[in-house]
Amino acid sequence: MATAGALLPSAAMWPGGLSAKSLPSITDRYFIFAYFSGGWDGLLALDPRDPSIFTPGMVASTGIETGYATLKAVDAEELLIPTAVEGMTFGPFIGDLATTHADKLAVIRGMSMEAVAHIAARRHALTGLRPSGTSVRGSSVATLLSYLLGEGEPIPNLVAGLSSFNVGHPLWASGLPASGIDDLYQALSKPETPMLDGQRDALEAFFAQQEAKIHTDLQSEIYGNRLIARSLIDQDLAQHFDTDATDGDMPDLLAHFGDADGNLTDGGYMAIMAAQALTKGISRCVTIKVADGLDSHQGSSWQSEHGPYMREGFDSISALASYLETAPFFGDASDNWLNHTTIVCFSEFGRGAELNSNGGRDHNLINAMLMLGGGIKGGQIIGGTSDVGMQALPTDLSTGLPSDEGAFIGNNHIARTLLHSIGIEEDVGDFREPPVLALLDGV
Amino acid sequence: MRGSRLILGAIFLLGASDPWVDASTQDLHGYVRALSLDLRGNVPTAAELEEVEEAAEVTESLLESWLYSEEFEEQVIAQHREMFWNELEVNLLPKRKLSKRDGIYFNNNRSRYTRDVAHSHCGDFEADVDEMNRPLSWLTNDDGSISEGYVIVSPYWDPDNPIEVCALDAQLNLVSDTGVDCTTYAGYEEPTCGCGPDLKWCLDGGTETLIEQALSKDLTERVRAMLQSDGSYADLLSSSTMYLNGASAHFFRYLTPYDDEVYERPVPLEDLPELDFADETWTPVTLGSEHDGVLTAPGWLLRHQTNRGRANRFYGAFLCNEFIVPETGVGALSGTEAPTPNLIRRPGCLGCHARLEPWAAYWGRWTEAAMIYRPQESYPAFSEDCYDCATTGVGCTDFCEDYYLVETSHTDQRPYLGWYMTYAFLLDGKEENPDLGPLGWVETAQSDGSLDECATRNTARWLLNWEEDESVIEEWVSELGDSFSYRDLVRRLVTSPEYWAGVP
Amino acid sequence: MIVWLWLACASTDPDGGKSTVASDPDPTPVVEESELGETTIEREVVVDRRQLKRMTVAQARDSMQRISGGIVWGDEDESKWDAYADTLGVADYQLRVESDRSPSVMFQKFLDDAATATCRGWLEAADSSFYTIDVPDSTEREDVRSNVVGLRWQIQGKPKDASAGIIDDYEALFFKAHQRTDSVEAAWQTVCVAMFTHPDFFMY
Repeated sequence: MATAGALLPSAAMWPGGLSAKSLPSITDRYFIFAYFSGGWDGLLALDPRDPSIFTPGMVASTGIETGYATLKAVDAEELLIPTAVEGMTFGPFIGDLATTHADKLAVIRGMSMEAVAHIAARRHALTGLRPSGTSVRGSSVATLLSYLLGEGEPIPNLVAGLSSFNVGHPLWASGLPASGIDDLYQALSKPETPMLDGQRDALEAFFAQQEAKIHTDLQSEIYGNRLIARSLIDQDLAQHFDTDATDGDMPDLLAHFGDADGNLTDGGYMAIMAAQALTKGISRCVTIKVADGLDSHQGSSWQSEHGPYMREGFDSISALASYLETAPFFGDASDNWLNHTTIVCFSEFGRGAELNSNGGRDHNLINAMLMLGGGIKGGQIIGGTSDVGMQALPTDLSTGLPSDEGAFIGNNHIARTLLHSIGIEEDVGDFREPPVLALLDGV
Repeated sequence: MRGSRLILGAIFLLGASDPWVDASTQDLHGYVRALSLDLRGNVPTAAELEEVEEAAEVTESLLESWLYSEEFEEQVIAQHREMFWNELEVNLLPKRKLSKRDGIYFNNNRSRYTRDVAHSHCGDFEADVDEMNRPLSWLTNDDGSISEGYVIVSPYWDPDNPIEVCALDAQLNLVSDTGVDCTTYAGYEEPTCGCGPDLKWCLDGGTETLIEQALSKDLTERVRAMLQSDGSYADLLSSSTMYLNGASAHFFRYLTPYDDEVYERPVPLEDLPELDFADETWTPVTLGSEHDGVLTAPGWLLRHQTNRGRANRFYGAFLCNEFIVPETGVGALSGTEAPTPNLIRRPGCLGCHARLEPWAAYWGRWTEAAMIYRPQESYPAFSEDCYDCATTGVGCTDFCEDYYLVETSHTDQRPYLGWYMTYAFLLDGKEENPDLGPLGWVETAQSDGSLDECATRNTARWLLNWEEDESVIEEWVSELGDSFSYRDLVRRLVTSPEYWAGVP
Repeated sequence: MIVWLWLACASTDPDGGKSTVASDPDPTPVVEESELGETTIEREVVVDRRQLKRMTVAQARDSMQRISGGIVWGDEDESKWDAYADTLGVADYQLRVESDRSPSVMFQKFLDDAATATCRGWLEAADSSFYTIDVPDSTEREDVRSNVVGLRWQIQGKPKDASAGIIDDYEALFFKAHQRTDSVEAAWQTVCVAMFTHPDFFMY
C-alpha cells in the first residue's frame, strides 16, 4: 500500500525534460474529477437568479429567463438556497452540498468555454487544452497529475464513465478505464476458474521471453499493458470494490452513500469507488461521472429531469466529501483525507440564459465549476456573470473578484491552477494561462 | 513511400495478369486473416483456410462470397454507426410513460389529474371497474388522493405475460367524459383518459428503448439496403425509403399523436405496416419528396437535434472535415450589451459560423429537437401577415409568434422581421437553402468530388488503418468513377497493393 | 448527445422589441482565409501499407467462438465480452463515439479471462477440434510440436511451419506447465491461453 507522498518522476521520463520548477513540492495531494455529463444549467444550481427580480416580463431586457415556474417537483420556497456563507446562494438543485459543505466550496462562475459541441468541449475540459477539432492536443490533466505524483500507486489514474488521454506520458500514467465499481471489481479479480499457479508461472515466463524480443513501440505498449494487467490482479485490489461484501468497509460505505432506504444512485457507487481508490492507496487521481442526462434541449427533459439528475450528482459529492472528512489520512487521526483531496466538479459547458422554443435550454459557452477540498480556499465565489444575458465577467485571478482588468477564466486556467496547487509554477502542461490564485488556500 | 509503390508496381508489371492474386502470396495467411476479419468480423474457418492454402491464393469467388455475405453487411453497418452516431437516448414521451411501484404499472406524471395528488398510486388491491376499466369504487386517502386499485392487462409489448396496471391508467375510453379525444395530447389532463386497449397509447422503459433502437436502426437498415441493391453509395443521402419494424410502426401509429409538436408520421396512417410490436422484420415505406436519405431520417433528426448539429455531423462524417477554434480563440461572451444573435457577425465566432450558418439552413424546414417538416406551402419563407403584425404593433397570432420572427431582441434581427425563423441572417443566395434541403449540399459535394473523396478516405482509414495521400485517394476515386457502389470501393481497396502487401 | 452550436444571447433593443421600419441588413463581414475555423481531420503519418490494428471486442468474441467450435465466454444469455463492453471502450455513440482499439490493460486482462475459459471449454468439449494428434495425452516431443503447429494454425492463422522459432517457445511452455502441474490437459490449456493472448492473435 502506498503511503502519503509520492515517487517523483525522473527528469529523463518527462517529454522535453523537467526542471526544478516543474517538480511538485506538495506530494500528498490527491484528486477527484467529478463529471456531470451533458452540459449543466447554472441557473438550477451554481449560478441562480432571483425569480422575483428576473421575472418573465424582464426577459426581453435582461436576456435571462429562469424558467423556475415551469420546473416540476420543486416548491417556490425552495428556488433559492442560501448558505451559511454570506453571499453564497444556490439554485434549487444543489442538494446537500449547500448545508453540509458550503464553507469548503469554491464556486467559479462566468467561465468561458470555447466549444459547445459535446466531444470537443469535453476534451477541452479534460485536458485543459483546446482540441484540434475533436483531436486532443495533450494528456488529460488527471494523466498529467498521475504522472507527477502517482508512480507509487497501483492504479495512479482511475477513470470511470468517460474517456482519458495520454499524449507522450508513460504508459503507467494512462487512465485505467472502468464503467463502474462492479466492472472494476471484475477487472481486478482472477477469473471464476483461474489457471493453477504453475500454469500462470509458466505462462508469464513465456511472455517474458517474448518481450525480450520486441523492437517496436507498439510491442512495448502491448507487453507493458499486459504486465500492468497481471500486476493489478496479483495485488489483490479487488476486495476493496466488492459491493457484495458483507464484511470490511463495504457495508458501511453502502449505508453512508445510500439514501434512507439503502438505495444508491449511479453517482453514489462512483463515489464509493473513488473513496476506496484513494483511501486504500490505490489511486492518485480518480475521474468519475456522477450525473448523466443533462443535455436537456427538450422542455420536458429540462423541467423534470435536469435538476434532479444534477442534484443526485451533488449529493454524491456531498457524501464523498463527508466520508473523506472523517477518514484518517493514512491512519493519522489528527488529519483527514479531505484535507488532501481536491474535488473538481465540472461539466463540458453551460446552458443558455433563455429557454429555447421547446421550453428547454441549449448549449452555452458560459459555464460554472465547483471545487472543494485540499488546497482549495472554500467559502467563496470566484468570478461571475452579468445580469444581461449571463455573460462572463472578467475576473482578477488573485482576488477572484470581477474586474475590468481581469481575465476570462477557462479550462486552461483551471488546469494551470491544479498544477500550481501542488507547487508547480512552471507551465509544464503548456496551458498558456496563469493560475487562478484566488482559488488556492495559503497562496 | 513513393519508392515502395514503384517496387510494388514493378511486381505487378513483372508478375502476372492479376496483380492482387500474385501479391497475396507475399503473406497469404496474414492477408486472408485480415480480409476475413475486416470483411466479416471473424477469422476464416478452418475449411476456408485450407481452401486458400490449396489454391495458394484468395480466389475471386471466395472474395466475392465474402463481399456478398450478411457478415459483410454487418461490418459496413458498424463502420457507418461510427459516422451516424445513431444511438438515441431521448425522453420520447414522458407524459405517456408508465413506471412501476410495488409491482404495479401506473402513469406517475398523470397522478395529479387521475388521483388528485401528484405521484399518488392506486394501491395494491384489485379494482372494481366497468368494461372500460373505469373504477366503480375507490378509497380516499388522508392526503386527498384516491386509490382505485389495479386491473390485469395484456400489454401490447408482451401479450403473453399480463401485468397489473392501475385501473385509471388502464382505461379504454376513446373520448373522455368532457369530450376530449383520448388518443391525442389533449387527453393528458383528462382523468377519464387512460392508456387504451392493451396499453397501446402508453409505453414503459423497455418499450421506449426498443422504439429508440428501431429509429436508430432505420439508418443502418438503409445501409444494408444500399449494399443489397449494389446501388450508388450516394443513395444513402438521397433515397426516400425508410425501414420500420414492429416497435417503430407502433410508435408512429399510436404514440406520435401525443406530441405532435415533436413527432409526425413519416407516411400516412394507412401506409404504416401492420406489425406486432415484437416483430423485428424490417418493412420499407416510401417517404415524401422532402426527405433526403439518412440526413432527414427520424433517427438522424432526433440524435442530432439542432440544425447546426445536423450540419456538423454531416460535415465530419461525409466530408471529412471538422470545425476547430482558431488560434486566436473564440473570445468570451462578455459585456453589458446583448451580443448579436447573428453568429456570422460575432467576432470570434464568424470563422466557423460563416460557413456553418448557411449549411445548417439546409435543415431549415426541419424542426429542431423534433422530426417535423414544415413545408413552404404552409410556412412560406416570408409572411406579410407576420411582418405586418410585427411592425404595426397589432397583436400577432400564435402561428406568427411560434414560427416567424415578429419580435427582435437585437437590431441585427430587424431586417428579418416577418421571415420564417430559420431564414434569419441568410444572405447572398443562401436563402434558398432551407427549401433545397440537405440534398442541396449533397449535390454540391457530389459535383466537387468531396463526397466521393471522403467516402474513400473513410474506407481507407477503416481497412488500412491509415490516411493515404491525396494523389492515391484521387486515383482510387477516379478509377471508381461516378456513382460507385460501396462494395466496389471496398473491393478496390482490399485488392490494392497497400492492403495485401501486409504489415511492416 | 446533441450537438448545438447556438450561443445564448440576451438583448437590449432600445425599441423594446418592435421595429417600425424594415432596413437592409448590414453587409456580411468578409472572412479572411486565416480566420477560417475549420480543418480537415488531422492526418496521421502517411505510410504505404496496411497498419496493424487490434481486433475489436466483437471480432475477438466471435473469433474465439469460431476457433473453439462454439465455446462462449459467459452464458447463453450474454457473452462477458458484451457485459464488459463499456469498460472495454466499446462505443455507445452517446458519450463515446469511437471505440478504443488500443491493446489496453483492460482488453488484455479480459482477453486472458476469456482465453482461460474458452481453452478449458474447448479442451473439455466432446469431439473437440483442439487436438490434431492421434494421442491427445502424449508428451512425446514430436506429438507436442505437431499439436502446437496445429493450434497455431487454428488460433493465429499462421502457416503450418514446424521450423518457426516460436514453436520452440510454445513447446517449452508446454513442458514447463506440464512439469509444474503434472497434467497434460493443464499444459495444453496454458499453451492455448498463450496463443490467444499473444499479439499474433489479436493484432492483424
